[in-house]
Amino acid sequence: MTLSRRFLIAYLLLVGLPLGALLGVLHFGRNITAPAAVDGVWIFTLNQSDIARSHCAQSTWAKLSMTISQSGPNLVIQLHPILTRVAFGEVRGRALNAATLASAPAIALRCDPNGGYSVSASLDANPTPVTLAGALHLHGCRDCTSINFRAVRTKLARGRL
Amino acid sequence: MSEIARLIVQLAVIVLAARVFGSIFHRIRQPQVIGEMFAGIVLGPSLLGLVAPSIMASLFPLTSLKYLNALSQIGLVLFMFLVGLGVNPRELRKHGHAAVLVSHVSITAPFALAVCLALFVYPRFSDSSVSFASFALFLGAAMSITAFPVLARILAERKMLYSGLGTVAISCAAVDDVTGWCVLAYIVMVVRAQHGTSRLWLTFGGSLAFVAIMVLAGSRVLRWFLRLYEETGYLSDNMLAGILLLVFASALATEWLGIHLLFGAFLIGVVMPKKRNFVKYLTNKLEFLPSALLLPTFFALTGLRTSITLLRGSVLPCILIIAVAILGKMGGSMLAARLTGMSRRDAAGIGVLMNTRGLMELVILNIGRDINVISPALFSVMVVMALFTTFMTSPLLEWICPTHSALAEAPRIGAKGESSLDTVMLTG
Repeated sequence: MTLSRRFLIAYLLLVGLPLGALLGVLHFGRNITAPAAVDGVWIFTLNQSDIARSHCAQSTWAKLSMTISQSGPNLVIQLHPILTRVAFGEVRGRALNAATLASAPAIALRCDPNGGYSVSASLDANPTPVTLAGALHLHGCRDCTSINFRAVRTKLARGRL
Repeated sequence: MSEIARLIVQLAVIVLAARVFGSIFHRIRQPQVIGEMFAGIVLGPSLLGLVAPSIMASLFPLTSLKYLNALSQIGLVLFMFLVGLGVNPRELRKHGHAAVLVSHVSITAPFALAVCLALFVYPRFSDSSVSFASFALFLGAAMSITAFPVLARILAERKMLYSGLGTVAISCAAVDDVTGWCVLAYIVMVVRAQHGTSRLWLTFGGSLAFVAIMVLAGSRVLRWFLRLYEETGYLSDNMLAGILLLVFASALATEWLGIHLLFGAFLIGVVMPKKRNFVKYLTNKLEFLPSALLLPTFFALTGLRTSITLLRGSVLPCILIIAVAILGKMGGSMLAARLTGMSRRDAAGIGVLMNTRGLMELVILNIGRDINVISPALFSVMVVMALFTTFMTSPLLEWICPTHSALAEAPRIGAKGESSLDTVMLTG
């Protein structure tokens, strides 16, 4: 076999074939679904009577926002400006659940900024959800009840875009 | 502490860490750039953040990172210009069938494998805001890149730049980089259009027109600088400033068109005249600041974005991604080289060299993170992959082509060519 014929066959096999496979996989991959995108900043509207029952200072809780960093279904959540701890969770279907690691025992009578917490919420039906509704549970506060909330997404985590 | 005082302290820490780790890695016969990349990881949440979170928080508060980011972007613009300057498209033609096949396979094999891997990785690391096609194409581009400057440095240190193996490897790496950046430009274009931050037709048409203008007209204008250099043997500060202005203008043009400013910087470097002394002169004049200060800043920012803790629960995907990256790049190049009639040793050497991803991979990954095509966890996994595949190059190459035999072979091709490739030593 001449060098140029061998080169041609090798080229078709090693370049043409992967390119063909690539197009096939790209076509097939359109059917694969990824978890709902929830990353970004969410502004909370908290149920006022729940806050009052939880002995939390209402003025500071009025501006509560949640920043979500997402990697597939896994989430890293921060609640600004009150709660300092980071929560880890996941999004499955339209349900979002997250909690801080190793929550402190519930000894405080009021909302503790360093206390543990968990969030459970459901997303709206949009492919890229813009609202969610759920409850915030404060683990570090013995007398606190769950605080119901609604949240609206204000900013997607689009980096420099 | 005032903002400027904090910035100076940050830069001092970054430069110090880069130098210390660069020296340590140099002692273990690794290119200095790997040490500098590692220094970036050390300063981030993966190490400093775990050991002394308060020090990290006070040294690199979130609000201060915008200044470091601006400096690192300027450094990357200069770096990409110098990388483009070192790319000589004519080099490939000298090596005929072997270089054509190896370079094309070293792109398509890892690209196709990465797209197949995306079927597994996409639901685990991505979300509904990114289409499968954008994700898979990005993964493909990220896996098929070769770190042209790091490769040049490794070959130069081993006196292999003009060996048969070295010239084929460096030519293929140049083709890989040009192709990889073209694919990446397309992905950035599509993603930005999807999110309504630019219009696809304007970006696509404008980019094609810009490339045509740069290749046809821009290169003629740039030859004027070469003529000046050949007449006097140097370029005045005004002329060098003029080149810098053109680099920034080209970068701004591609940013405005909706691709990325780094493409413009790379493109103007590629169309610059390739006379060896001229390229060497420009590189010497322009490389110090990016190499000593601005690129370490970029590494530190990359390290601040990388969190090894995000790999928790992702060990299997991480191993899989590294394995596919190596199999596609090293295996594909090795097979292609063997089919073109290269000896087993040379084919293995080509495979090992083409598997070097280094700094170019980090640049691509940061773009992917900026446009949100890859998630924080996948970013961290890919950074680990970049470090691992770059780190393995030197010891594997030493095992396949021991230094003494590489030195003996070096004069085989000779150093008389007009290659400009030996001048791109920026990241060594």
